[in-house]
Amino acid sequence: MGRSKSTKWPLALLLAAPLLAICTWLVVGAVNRSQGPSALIPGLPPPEADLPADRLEERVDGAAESLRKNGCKRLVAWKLISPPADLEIYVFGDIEGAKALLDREAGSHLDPAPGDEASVTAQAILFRRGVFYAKLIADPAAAADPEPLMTVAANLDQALSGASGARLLALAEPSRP
Amino acid sequence: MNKDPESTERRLVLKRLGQAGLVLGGSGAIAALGAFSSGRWRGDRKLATIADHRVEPSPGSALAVARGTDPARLVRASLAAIGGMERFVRPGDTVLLKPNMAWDRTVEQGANTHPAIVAEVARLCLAARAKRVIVAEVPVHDAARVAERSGIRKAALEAGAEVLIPPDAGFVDTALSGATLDHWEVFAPLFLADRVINLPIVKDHALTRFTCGLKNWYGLLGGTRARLHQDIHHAIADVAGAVRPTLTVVDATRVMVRGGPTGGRLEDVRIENAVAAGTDAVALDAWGAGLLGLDPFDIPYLMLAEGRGLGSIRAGMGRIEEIRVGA
Repeated sequence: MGRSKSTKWPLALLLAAPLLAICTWLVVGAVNRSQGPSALIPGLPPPEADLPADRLEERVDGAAESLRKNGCKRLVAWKLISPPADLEIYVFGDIEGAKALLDREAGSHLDPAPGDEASVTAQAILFRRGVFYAKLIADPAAAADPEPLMTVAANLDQALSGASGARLLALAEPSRP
Repeated sequence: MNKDPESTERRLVLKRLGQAGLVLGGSGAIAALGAFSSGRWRGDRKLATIADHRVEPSPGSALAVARGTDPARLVRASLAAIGGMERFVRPGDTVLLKPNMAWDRTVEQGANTHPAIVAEVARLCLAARAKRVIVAEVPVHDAARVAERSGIRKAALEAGAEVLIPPDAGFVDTALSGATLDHWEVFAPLFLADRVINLPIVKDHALTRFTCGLKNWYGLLGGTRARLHQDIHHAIADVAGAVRPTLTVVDATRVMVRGGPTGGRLEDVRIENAVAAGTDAVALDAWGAGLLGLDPFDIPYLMLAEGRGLGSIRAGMGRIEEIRVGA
């Protein structure tokens, strides 16, 4: 009960299709990863954490649940060398979520910049730009000179307002089938 | 009479499929039998249990508070007021110290227990002739970096203690027998200890409003942490009911009043210059809540803990005599 050559090839392709699909998925994933947040914000090193909503605990532990309740979709964190600082960017589903976190962490006094609203001290700059909440905390030992921190915050604000922000938003969206 | 070749082939295929099914089914049955007999299938694996590390209560105060600028002296003064370390540590004991050492933050940022407090408690344990003092924690941030940046590893080692963080040790599936948590992965060094001393810090907390001693036990847990936060007040009470420490020494030298538990801004840290020590974990948490201006009766996990007989909220409220240490 032989099969002709012409029927063998489609069958072989059909059988190989799942394997091909898996390989394609892996390659696309790897390519997307290499273009991930490390390339997002010009001048920043690769992030030390890039977490979707269901893994926020890995960075903020008990705060994760309240972040999710406010619509946090993604958290990307960097360790900056110069100036020595910790940077976290939270991506929310709407402005209200980002506002709620800024209000909680900054208290009542807000500054007009950077971003749409901010809280600026010599050692820490917290600001919201649209649905992004950025938290830039200098190492206390380096807090004597706030200028480098201000420069980072200004560049970051510009990046979030442009292509980097759009890319971050796209990353925060769950992939669709 | 010739057999139909297609029919023969179909029978052959069916026979082979039947054989393959038998082999697969048999293998599955053997594997299931193995898993079942080992207990994994039924979920009745042998779970570890945590010993009760408490000592007999003394008739004195439930807690002692010392105020001053030198953390080590505050530790000594508060402990002296409740009977001294010799009341809690016997010669030859292995003592586990559980600071809050979860965050990649410096001392000034007030996210972790002050290293001078950890070191002084370790020294007092060794002076009471403890055989071994272990500082253990499962940090949230990168463990090695947290141990360094918090200053705790250096201070603890200089005081003669060991520091165990993952991956120095593994986790043990442990019975908690709580309302929410039946069992959980617990950091193995806990099971080496004859005495357990909790060394929490008082902080604001996004989910529970504040954190102090009872919540500090989360730092000995592994597993999927998201689940621990689903029904957090019951879960905290469950864990606190399972880990019954010998002693609690609360670091309130600096209090993070906003942005907890991670914090980071120096503006959010209030210098309080206080240390409290005692054996009533609920009273100490109630005292800590008061430092943040909270009514302890508004903290659900404190109410649950008190309801389970873990201590008294009222004992940590109201006017508590304080020891002034130095100038």
